[in-house]
Amino acid sequence: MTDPRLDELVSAYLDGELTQEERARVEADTALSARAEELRLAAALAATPVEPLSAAEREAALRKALDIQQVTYIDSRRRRIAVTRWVAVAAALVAVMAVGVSLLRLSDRRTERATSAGTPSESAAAQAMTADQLTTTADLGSFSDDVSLAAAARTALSERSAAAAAPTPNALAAPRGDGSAATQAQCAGLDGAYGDVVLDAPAVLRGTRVRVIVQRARSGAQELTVLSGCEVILQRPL
Amino acid sequence: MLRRHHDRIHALCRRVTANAADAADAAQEALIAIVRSLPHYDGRASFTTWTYRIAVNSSLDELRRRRRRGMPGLPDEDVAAGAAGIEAAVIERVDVDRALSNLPLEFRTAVVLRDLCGLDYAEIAEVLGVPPGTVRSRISRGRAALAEHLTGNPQRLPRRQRPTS
Repeated sequence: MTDPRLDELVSAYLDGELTQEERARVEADTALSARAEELRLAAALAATPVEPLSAAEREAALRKALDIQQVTYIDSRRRRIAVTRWVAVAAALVAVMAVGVSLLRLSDRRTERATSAGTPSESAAAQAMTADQLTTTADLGSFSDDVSLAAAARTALSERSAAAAAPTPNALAAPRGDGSAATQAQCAGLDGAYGDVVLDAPAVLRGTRVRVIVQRARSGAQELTVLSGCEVILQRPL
Repeated sequence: MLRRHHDRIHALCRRVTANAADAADAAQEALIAIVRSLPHYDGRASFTTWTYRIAVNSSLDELRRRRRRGMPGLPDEDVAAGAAGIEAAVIERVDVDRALSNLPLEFRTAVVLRDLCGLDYAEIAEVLGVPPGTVRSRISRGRAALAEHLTGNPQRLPRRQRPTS
């Protein structure tokens, strides 16, 4: 049984990996020299040349490696092209969707305008009321005559005055949206020249849905206007 | 360039796998890996060392595949050729692949890289990714095991006829 550490020394000696001192030690020791010869034979066995492949086999192997590389290159190019194509398709879809959404919004807006620009109706008044939320109050109720309606308007006005001391800008003179703009266009009689709108509330007068508007002049005088759609059915000082 | 390195790569694969068919497959895989990895070769190791590292890895992969398939490849008959004198008398009676296949894989690889490929310890350490001291130990133990075959029981490794081609 040989000592693995001595074998390592002898093996390294064969490979020229020893210091001069170590080399001298191996060469001076007959046992180590004999072991060196055994390991040299082992090394010679491992160094036995391998019979190379035939030229045809070698060329086939080389061709295969290069062909696979070529296929891989083409595959990666195709993959890149495919990815680019998908990105382009996705971008086009996004663009189409964006244009579609814009067109839909535009269409909605036109529909709203068309609805507002139609015959004067309760809906126009309702839209105007929605736009004029600052002055719009709750439904005043149902009335059978002008006097009780005016009284209700006065009551609502006094209730509001506590909450909103300052008068709001004239909703009819300063449109805030399509609804009020339409109202202004349709309700030509109400040009806001009288004063600020201090009350704008729905009500029912003699079974007709109406809009009750109170305007206040700079002088402090107030005027009641009752609209059915945009038709002024009542206008009187309050 | 591949043509110039092919025979060395094949020889390394043959000695590590100890089987002609496995060696052919491993060498083929190594060539493909070399071609694919060529753009990433950074020149830190010498090109030869780099190709050896790829060939060793391909051979080890091939051996692992063979083990997974459950078909341990028998060493081919490959008696030493071209040796002369007393050395030839000993070596020519030995089936090289069979003798090498008896070595643990890490010893076999180190011995083949040193004795067949002629790399020094530092280069082998680079190929195998281990310290040079480990390389020295593996080579020593591998050679010692081979010496056992050569001197201990040579009758178990009879010379076989090389198929004529």
